[in-house]
Amino acid sequence: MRLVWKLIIKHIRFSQLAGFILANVAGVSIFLLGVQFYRDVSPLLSGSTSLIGDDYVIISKKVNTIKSLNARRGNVFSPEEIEEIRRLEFVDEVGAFRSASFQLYGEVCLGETSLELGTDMFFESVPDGFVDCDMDRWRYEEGQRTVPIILPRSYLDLYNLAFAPAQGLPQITEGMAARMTLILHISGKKDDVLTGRLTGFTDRLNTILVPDSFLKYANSVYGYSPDVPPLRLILKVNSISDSELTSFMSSKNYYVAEGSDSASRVAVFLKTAVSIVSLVGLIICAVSLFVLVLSTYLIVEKNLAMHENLLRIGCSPLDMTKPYMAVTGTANLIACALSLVLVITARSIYLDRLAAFLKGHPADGLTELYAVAAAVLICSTAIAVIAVYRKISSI
Amino acid sequence: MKRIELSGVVPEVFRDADDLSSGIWNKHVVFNKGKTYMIEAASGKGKSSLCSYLYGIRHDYIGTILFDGTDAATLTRTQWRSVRRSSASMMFQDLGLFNELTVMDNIMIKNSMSGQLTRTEILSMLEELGIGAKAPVRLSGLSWGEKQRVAFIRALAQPFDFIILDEPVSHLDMDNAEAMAGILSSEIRRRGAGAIVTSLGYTFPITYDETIAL
Repeated sequence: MRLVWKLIIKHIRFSQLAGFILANVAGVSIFLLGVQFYRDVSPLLSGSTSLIGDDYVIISKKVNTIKSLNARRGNVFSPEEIEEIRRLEFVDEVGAFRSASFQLYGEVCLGETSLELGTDMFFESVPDGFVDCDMDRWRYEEGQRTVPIILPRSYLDLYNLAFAPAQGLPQITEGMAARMTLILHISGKKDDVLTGRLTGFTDRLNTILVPDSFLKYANSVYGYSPDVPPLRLILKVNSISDSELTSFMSSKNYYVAEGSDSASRVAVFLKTAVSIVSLVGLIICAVSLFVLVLSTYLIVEKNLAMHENLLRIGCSPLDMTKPYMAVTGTANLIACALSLVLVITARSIYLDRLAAFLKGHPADGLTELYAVAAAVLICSTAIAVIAVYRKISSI
Repeated sequence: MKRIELSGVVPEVFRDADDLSSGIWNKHVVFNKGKTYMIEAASGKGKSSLCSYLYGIRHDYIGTILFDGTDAATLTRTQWRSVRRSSASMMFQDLGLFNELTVMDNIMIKNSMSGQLTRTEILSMLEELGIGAKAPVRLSGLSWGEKQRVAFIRALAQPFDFIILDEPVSHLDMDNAEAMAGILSSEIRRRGAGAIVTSLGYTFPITYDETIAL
């Protein structure tokens, strides 16, 4: 069959093949880059130290007029509802917000000196596992007179950027804030005065947070009712970008706190953008493959007499397809190899740029990239070979 | 294959012809292995059509062609390929050679499928036909008469029970035609094969068991 190969390969235009390889490199590179980029970036959307938002969401029931008139009872989560949420596949943990059932007035002091700045305030707590701060400083034991407090970072910003300039007050850094104490005037079943110590600031929870153990104790000692059903729940979910979460929440008429689901939106946009890019890559691949098949058809048509003669002397269409298979296979292999080089180079560039965000996310190996490239190679070669075989068989 | 039998075979284009006085069309004709047949006719009587029907290149006929009792019309492409590789060989009127290849490669492309002839045998046949020196030359540089000799040797470069030669010596001088006839006679004798030769009247000089006017 060596001579059949020699004869057929003489008629193949290598300039056309080079054109195909270039077009295919463009298509395969774009497709593979899309796939690889998605793989590299997706841990940032769903990993344990997620970059875009945490993998925590805070949910509450939508406030509506009738229910809200019913004070606390209307919008609370019942134990059954909490249990239902706990059973959801994408939910790892559920924590209920505990609210203080006593009244509270806080007075700000710097060291021993009162700043003569005070306000009515409230406390909430969530189970310790949901709090992102040093647990040693967060511990509270019954009877302890000092209570650790975490404030939302937005409160500090609000004070520094809006309140302090307007009132002619000094701005406060996080370091200074840590040295401040709060005199907590509690009034409820029993009145008391405790000291609050600012332990830190959080971006995750938009509330004034104290240890759960303190609030449980304080509600029982000072509160009017020790067990207040929760109005808000904090959920640890395994993928915040999961659309199931969104659909569940809307089906139950639950409200997901603004900010928590922005990650989900970013993830959806990213997924869509990467899908579009990959699709464009695939379309380019398909078009270049179409051109390759067409130019092979042209070769067969142009040398119809030669192909007929080969069939007349007893060559099988398969024998005649093999040289085309070798040539298209090699062209595809070259295109895939070049694309892989391009993609790996591009990846090293974007990994450098994203290095800051990717800390703690060692980039995965390239096994999957190679597997996808191999699949593209096999599929496109198979399509081209089947098309040529059918063409030759039809002579 | 031992026997080729034609019953009522007529090319479709002759279907409505009233004046079909032919020794083959619409008759019962048998070609036996080991015998030689001359099909003689003027141009346009369907010599090449007959060869193409026997070799399975064309199927535009009515009637039946039987290979050892099997209807040729029922053969699949794969079966036809096997007929062309081992039971029937043909020297085409248009030769069907490859201008891109050398003389030797043109013969080897067929010979390599079966290994029927050795390179030395091929060279000695080329020598006998006066084109030994052309073996490494590209076919495109040869005259039609030289090409006919190459096509003839290629037709021998495979096993066969029947060899079909469609106007094999139309462009050959008497000496070369006789040299070719000598090779063919000894090859069909050695292989016990049958030969079907068509001619415009310019006879290929072998001994025929039967001459049929088409």
